[in-house]
Amino acid sequence: MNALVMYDHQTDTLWSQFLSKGVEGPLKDTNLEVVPATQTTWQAWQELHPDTKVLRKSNNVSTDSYVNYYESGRAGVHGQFNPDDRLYAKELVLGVSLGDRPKAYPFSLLTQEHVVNDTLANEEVLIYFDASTGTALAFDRSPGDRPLTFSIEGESDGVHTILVDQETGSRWTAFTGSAIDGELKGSRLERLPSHLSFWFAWSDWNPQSEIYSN
Amino acid sequence: MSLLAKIGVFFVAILLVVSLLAPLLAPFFEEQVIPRLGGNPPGEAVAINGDEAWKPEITEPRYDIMTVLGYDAIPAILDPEFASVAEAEEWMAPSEQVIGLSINGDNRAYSIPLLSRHEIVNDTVGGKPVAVTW
Repeated sequence: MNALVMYDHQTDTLWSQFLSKGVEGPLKDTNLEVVPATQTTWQAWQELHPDTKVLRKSNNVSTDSYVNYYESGRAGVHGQFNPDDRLYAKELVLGVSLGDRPKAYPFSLLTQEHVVNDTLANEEVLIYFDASTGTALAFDRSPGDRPLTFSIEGESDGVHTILVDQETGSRWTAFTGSAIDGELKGSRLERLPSHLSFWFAWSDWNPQSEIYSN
Repeated sequence: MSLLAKIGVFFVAILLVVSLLAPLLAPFFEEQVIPRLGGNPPGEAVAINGDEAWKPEITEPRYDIMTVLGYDAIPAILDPEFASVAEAEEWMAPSEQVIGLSINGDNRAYSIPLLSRHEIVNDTVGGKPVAVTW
């Protein structure tokens, strides 16, 4: 496979980040729970969570050492063994896997659509994308087992973007999936585990992945 | 080319936060284990444009692990230290990408430029031991 593995200090097991499990050693085949996180800008995150703590770093760590890699055509540890040409190798995707149904949502489409109401493996999925911060989130859009259909209220406005559901007209904050007004006020959409990944890596680990298209 | 740039060549960037060992949970990940380092058999269909996705036949999961970087060649953060928003004003840029994590009301941000140098942060957030990996 085309990715580095991690080791743990206690057992020296080798762990795959992409598979979330041990691949060699005493804890082989032990699964790690995936906790949904949010990749966004510092500005957006501190607006969402003014009480946030931030990992200390020295002042000179301000540029990402992988910038050249992100922008180049190079892919993976040893190049690509089995390139899946359905998308450009370095296209960014939000990968979601439910049941045995992996699906990739290309950023090139999300920048046009922002909100995708989808169904994957019999689950109702909401994909939300904010182009101003590069934030892509996956939610379960069936709070209380009632599927809802979302669209953006007015214009996108970063962390202040509001979604409205067609069924009840309730208003939701897009970044957190929390209903702030209407019949469902106080409800919260559950985040789904997702991977923000280059296409070559997602398709390498999920060769049978579907690709969202409109 | 610097060492870090070389590491970059090897690195597959993903956004993933993993947490407590949960041997009986998250079974769906097992279903997507499709190692195929050896490549596809000749003549096998690889990709189909359209609705029907390619369903490869999987015999046995196989991992070939080779050493391209030694242990701790990329130093993980073992004892993370945190600052407040006000303290961070001098060294965090508004447009800087972060991984944000909220567990039990405990909110934390991890700078991605910093994660690119360390790749793993061992932390405890909202009482839960987590590895923030990049």
